[in-house]
Amino acid sequence: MKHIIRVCTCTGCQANGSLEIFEGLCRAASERKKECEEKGVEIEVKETGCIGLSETVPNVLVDPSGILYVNVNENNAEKIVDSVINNYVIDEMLFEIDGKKYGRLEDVPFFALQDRVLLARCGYTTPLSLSDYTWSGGFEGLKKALDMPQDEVIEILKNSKLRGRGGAGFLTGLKWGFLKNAKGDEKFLVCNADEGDPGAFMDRSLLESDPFAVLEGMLIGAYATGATRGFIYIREEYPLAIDKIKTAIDILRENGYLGDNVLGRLSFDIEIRKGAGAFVCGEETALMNSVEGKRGQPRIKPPFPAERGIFGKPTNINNVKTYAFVPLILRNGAEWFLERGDGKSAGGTLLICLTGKIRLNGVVEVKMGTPLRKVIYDIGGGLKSGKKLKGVQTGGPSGGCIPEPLIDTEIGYETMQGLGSIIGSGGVICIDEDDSIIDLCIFFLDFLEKESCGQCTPCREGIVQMKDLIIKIKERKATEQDIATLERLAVYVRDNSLCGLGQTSPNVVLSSLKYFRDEFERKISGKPVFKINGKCTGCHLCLLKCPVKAITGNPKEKHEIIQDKCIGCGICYDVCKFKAIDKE
Amino acid sequence: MEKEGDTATADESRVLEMLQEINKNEGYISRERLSSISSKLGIPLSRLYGLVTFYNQFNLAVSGKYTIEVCEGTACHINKSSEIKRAVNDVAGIRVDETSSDGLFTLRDVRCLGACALAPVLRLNKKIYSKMTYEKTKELILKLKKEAEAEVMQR
Repeated sequence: MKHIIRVCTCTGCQANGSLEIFEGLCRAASERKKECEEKGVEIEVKETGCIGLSETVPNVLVDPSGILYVNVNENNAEKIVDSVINNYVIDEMLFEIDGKKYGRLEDVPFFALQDRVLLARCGYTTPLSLSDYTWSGGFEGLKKALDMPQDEVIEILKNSKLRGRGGAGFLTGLKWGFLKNAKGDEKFLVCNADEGDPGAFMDRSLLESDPFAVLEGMLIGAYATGATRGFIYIREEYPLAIDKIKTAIDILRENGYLGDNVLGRLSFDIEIRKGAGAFVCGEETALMNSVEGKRGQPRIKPPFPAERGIFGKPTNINNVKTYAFVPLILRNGAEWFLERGDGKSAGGTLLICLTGKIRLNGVVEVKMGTPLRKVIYDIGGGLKSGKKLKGVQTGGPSGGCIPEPLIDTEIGYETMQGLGSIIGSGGVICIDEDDSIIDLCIFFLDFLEKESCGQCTPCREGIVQMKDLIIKIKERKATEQDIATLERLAVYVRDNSLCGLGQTSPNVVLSSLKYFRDEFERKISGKPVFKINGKCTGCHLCLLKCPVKAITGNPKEKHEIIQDKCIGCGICYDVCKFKAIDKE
Repeated sequence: MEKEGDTATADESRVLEMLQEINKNEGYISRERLSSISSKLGIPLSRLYGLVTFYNQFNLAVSGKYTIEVCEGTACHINKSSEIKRAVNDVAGIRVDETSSDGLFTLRDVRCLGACALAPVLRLNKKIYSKMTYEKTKELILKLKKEAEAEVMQR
């Protein structure tokens, strides 16, 4: 019987030694080849893409038994090979949560509750194996598309309600229609792989795990829109993804899927352009300038890219995931895709990166319209260390914070916008009761201040001013008036900035003020600041008397006041018998 | 504001790639290098300077033997990437964008490395070190220091 041992070699697993494990497994398998032959066992060790459970990297999957081994290290290689030869399961290397062990990957709740279609190949096929790709349905979508008129391909996409997965959520079919109808001798198709949102890494994961799917999506796009030249704009911070996509392009070229004569039907080739570490280049017009070798400063729209894009030629830009969905839609039909959507405005599944204080970090795929609670608690296993969830930050620096009481919201473009946040690229960062919303606001504004291109005044100056106001609040130097100014400024920056970066930069401020206003108001001056000094004996009295539980510390050790929780009532100051509390 | 599109030619559009190559091979971009690209491609030096200062990737000064890149993504931030910097500061005596006096270490902030599940992370010589703490960072730097000292002794 043939067994395949699959080792994930994505960036995350490699960082934890998966390449050494891969070599170890190969070595162990070849050392015991004779024994295998005697027992009629055949073992193949294969590299695979990311299964998404980043918490327990490196992960190893055994087929056909479907057993998942987690937190594997080099020294486990021989044991794994032995378990395959002698047909047993290594209990101590299984995935375990809440006291229960799981053998098969598909039984683990993290996977069982997902709806994996875009990630279907991840963990099962070898990313750069063209035969694996074709065997698992690759190029069926392209071939179907080539048998249809261009307009029909675009119509199918429109019917599928595929919306841009980069964050803006514009209907892909419409966008492709614009490019097809644009006049010009040369048209460009761009894949935006400048995944700059901190906390989102699904594009990297997809490019490393299923590069051909992204390229097939671009090929279908080239056919449907008449584009002849493609670019993949990818972050320099993702060296492994760049390597994989580069090799994948070469393989497709060698096999007649790229070049002057693609399957006898079209001429299309793809080049890679590497980003150079500028977040704003994720904005499509900034990206176009960067491809042209300029500073990545956004352009004024209109003209839209479909009229005048790169080098002044009609251009269409889509996100990595958007392209990767296209072959699936062509293969399975628009209805199939709609079924995986929210049943209203958006078709298809959504990739989410679960990070922060969550127990199971990783990439997950769920139907559009799944409640956030299910993603965080049922799939992600809730928070680490049993702390209380304070909220989730979604959509990166362009998004906002959604408080815990609202996490029953179904994830969708409109629902998230209604809450003052966005889906964005799909990052969901969980924060717990220890995290300060004010610090988070400062963090994002600091990020945006550095990443603002500096071209338009509302964004360049407004972000700095918002940050300064919040620092003032943090330092308890602000007044009621400052909060009002902050709010007015945020609305001004939102309404007057040139591009998406500036327009969405106040989201984090506005949503925080909406849901966590008390944290800001607690800092408003007038109330004194209390701090514990070295005289503290750890008698615990203040801790017991504090009405908001803002004091922590072990008995007989110096205690601390959590300033974010402190309401400045002064009870601790009054009860302390050792003059260990200073009033400022 | 620059006018969009049609003024750029295909050749000019390769300028970022050229700069990236130099930055990778030499560790930084010198003024001489900028001048030579300027005359080669016919792009004004001022524009090139505008490029290399706009994009975070480019270094304009020589870096230390080891560049420690600390991820400043959200997940790393809330999982205390500041502890990594504190350790680097304590052991190597440098803050962000500084190079240690022995020429060994340069500390840099980097925008999300996309390894958020392993937060907080740092990158050194292309390798990502996951779930870093103050102690782990300290150990790593001390180890590198020792290695460098041993190298000097051998010579």
